[in-house]
Amino acid sequence: MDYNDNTGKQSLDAIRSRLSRRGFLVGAAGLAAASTLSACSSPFEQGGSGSSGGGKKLSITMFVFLGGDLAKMPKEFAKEYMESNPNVSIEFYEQSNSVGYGKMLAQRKADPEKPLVNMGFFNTNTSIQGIGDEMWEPLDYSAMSNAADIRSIFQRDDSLGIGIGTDQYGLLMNPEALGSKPASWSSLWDPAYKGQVSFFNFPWYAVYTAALANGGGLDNMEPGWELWEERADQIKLIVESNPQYMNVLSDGTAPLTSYFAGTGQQWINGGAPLEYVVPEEGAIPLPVFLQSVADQGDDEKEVCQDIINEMLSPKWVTRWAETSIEIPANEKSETPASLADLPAFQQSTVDGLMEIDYDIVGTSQAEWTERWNSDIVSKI
Amino acid sequence: MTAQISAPARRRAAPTASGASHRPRWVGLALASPSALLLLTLFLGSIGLLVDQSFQTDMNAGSEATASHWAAFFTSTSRLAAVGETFLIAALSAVISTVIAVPTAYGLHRTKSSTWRFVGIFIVFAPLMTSVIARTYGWSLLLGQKGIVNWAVGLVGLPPLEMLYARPAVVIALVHIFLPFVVFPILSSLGQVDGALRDAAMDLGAKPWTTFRRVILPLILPGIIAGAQITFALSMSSFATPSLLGGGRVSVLATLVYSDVNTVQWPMAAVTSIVLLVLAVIVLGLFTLAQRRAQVGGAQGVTAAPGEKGIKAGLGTWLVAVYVFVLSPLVIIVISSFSSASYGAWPIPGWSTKWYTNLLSQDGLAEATYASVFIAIWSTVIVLIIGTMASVSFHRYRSLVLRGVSVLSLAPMVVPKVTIGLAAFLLLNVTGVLDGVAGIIAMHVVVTLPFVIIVVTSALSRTDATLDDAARDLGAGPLRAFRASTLFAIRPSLIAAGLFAFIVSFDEVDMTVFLLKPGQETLPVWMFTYMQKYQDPTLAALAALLIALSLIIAFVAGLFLLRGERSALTSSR
Repeated sequence: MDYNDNTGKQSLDAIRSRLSRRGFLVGAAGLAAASTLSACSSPFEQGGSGSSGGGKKLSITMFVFLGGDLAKMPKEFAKEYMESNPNVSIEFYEQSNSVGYGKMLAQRKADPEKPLVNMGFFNTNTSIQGIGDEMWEPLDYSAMSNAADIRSIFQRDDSLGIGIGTDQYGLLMNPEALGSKPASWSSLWDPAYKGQVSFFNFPWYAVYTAALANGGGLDNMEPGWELWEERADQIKLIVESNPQYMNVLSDGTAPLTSYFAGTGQQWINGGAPLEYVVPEEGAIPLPVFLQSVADQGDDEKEVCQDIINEMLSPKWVTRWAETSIEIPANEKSETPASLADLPAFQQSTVDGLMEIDYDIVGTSQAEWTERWNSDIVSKI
Repeated sequence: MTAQISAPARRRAAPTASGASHRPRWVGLALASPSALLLLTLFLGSIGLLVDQSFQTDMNAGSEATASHWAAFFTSTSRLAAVGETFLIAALSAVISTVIAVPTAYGLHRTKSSTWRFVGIFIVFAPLMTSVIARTYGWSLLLGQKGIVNWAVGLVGLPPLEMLYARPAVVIALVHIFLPFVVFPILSSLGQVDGALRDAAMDLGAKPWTTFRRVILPLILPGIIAGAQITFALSMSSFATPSLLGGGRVSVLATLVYSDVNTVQWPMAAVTSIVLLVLAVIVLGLFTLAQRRAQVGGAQGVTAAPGEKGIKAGLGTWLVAVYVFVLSPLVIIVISSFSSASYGAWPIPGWSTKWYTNLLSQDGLAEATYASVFIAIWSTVIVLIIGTMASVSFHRYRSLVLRGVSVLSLAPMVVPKVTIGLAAFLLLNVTGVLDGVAGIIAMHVVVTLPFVIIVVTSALSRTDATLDDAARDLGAGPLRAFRASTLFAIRPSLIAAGLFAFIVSFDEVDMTVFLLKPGQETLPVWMFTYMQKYQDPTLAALAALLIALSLIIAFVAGLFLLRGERSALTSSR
């Protein structure tokens, strides 16, 4: 024990003698670092608040999709709109619908009168979810000069938003790796392609088309569930991100799926060895809606409606179609030349789009997802 | 000597050696109070909101209270199966990581050349420099049906192994990323082991293996437990790796939570998160108990002798094998960043630097990097200060309150970050406090606190409390005595804890994405955003640049270390 005690005191003396100088240096360095950090401005001081220099401006935050060139048209539009309306400032919240809508709902719960965003682009599921959550402000179609030119399937009876275009679900495949080019939804559950199918998260459309082929429908999905339970081994894997999806399709790991025509075309344009095929039973449309958020101030509501109306003009609907690779909603819009020859944009494709009751899809999504994970994914 | 270092004797000596009974209780509470305040307000506040949410019928305020979501959870076979899968994945990851980390840390510690030791430490640390997406991509190329591993398996005439999109790939990738979290606490413990003990055992005739097993292993047990604890907890709440490499076949609680949040099923997300939290707190509590039992008393003395260095061929070969394991996916990432193809073609069809050009032309990258560095530095500084204070309190003072706070302090590590993010977003908005970057930093402090507490507490259990007492006897004030004895002794662990905190904060995306306002981005959020927009190797180029940057920093730091070592040798002559 003496040995230990002596050693302890000796060590302490040694440490203390060293620390007097060391401590000073470390302290000085710490103070310098703290001062430097304090001097650095907050990284977010300029962003997000919506304030702007000069006179008082009405600030509008627009929700835009995260993906490909989906923010291109809204940003080009905003630039032009702000030039002709100098009292309006438009900012963007670029996020996926799942994360972005979650935050919008959380903000609504915290303070409904201070919405996270004022308006934006929303996919069909989010639109339906938002109706249930009383998220949207009705639009006055009669006061919107461009609303009359929007095809009826993009208009809602309750005026809770209006469509600007539609993407579609069809078959996306790597024909070389697959060895053929199937053109029917049934290829997804055809034993010839066993272990070659991949899906992104929960593909309700795969269950729906299976139900449809076996006498069911959206209001009776049971035949679809039964078929997929039996043929779960068709599925090679479930992917969780777009890069992973593109890679497993391209390298032949799982060369057959059903996905957005627009995203698939973007991958094809980037050099991926894939092909989009419109199923002979028809593709499934996925309208994109423009919606104004409820409980914001009257001035904001008015400006949001005006922005939506302007974005529905043939010029901007065409530009949206071009950048998002979607079928335009405005009857007066022309299909962009760059898209005109693609299978997804042929008149026969548009005429053959399936009719989907998205109210059922939106309200059943959670229950279906749970069943998919529980009954199908557990068997792959 | 042998009797002095035997584990049972140490355990008996621990309570008196720590001197807990001589210290006023309020000091312990005061030291833990900043951490406790953060945990009770931000973390428990968020959890409180989750509990409330779990009893709501739906997401709308004022909906009727119901226990239906709880009933649904406990009657769902898929959710209950996910509980089992979560435990299995976490246990496998923790055990395999630890089994790999112990000889790795020992080999690194014993490496004679400080240059090679430094290089080795850097290699083990390297996976933390890349994003999960990039690492996953590397592993999918290595473990796939036609991957490099199966190519090697085919060379010896065996059939291809089914590793990718199944449990093996998930466990391998988790071990890969969590290995540094086990190696570093063990290295810190080894740094605190008195070199004279090993020399004494060898002088008394013990063989190297016996010396390691009977002398070294018991002394580094706190570090091993700390590392295993971190790995187990992180694996339990891990989402990205099981999702991306499990191919849907590995359903753990965290992946279900993400699915629930994506479908806006907050009540079920809340129930699943709470179940995960409760299970994890129980396991973490067991780890904490084990840590206390493994605690080494402070009275065995420190000679500060470094002991002789040098490794045998077997350990050298082991280190090389570990380096190959750690570096393989990273090499793939760097190579693919020079691919001419936008998709994951392998072998790459041609060479190109276009992804680097593309990266440098991206808007918002510099601002996002600045935001990440700003948040990570502030979080690290704050968490190191309050985390060390709390660790000292947990180690040196005994009370039921402190024990509760110590277990609570580990909980943020296991709750899926997406639920903490959602709940914290609600909490900060409802209360209106900590607006903007302050709220993000505060939440980063909460989620990095467990790393600091685990690593520092483990280091404290190896410190000699009598040094502190001796300093007080010699007239030093409490702060000066602590600084001169304890703080000096735990310095390597503080560096490791700081490094972990910085990396975790710098790399955090799931929680931060909820806390950022429209128009704000950190680097991982920028990467997440980019990945959603474009699917090309630009992120591989960014990962390669981050690896290169850390290599440069490591090289400069290594030069300084070597210069210091040489000047110390010169002066000792």
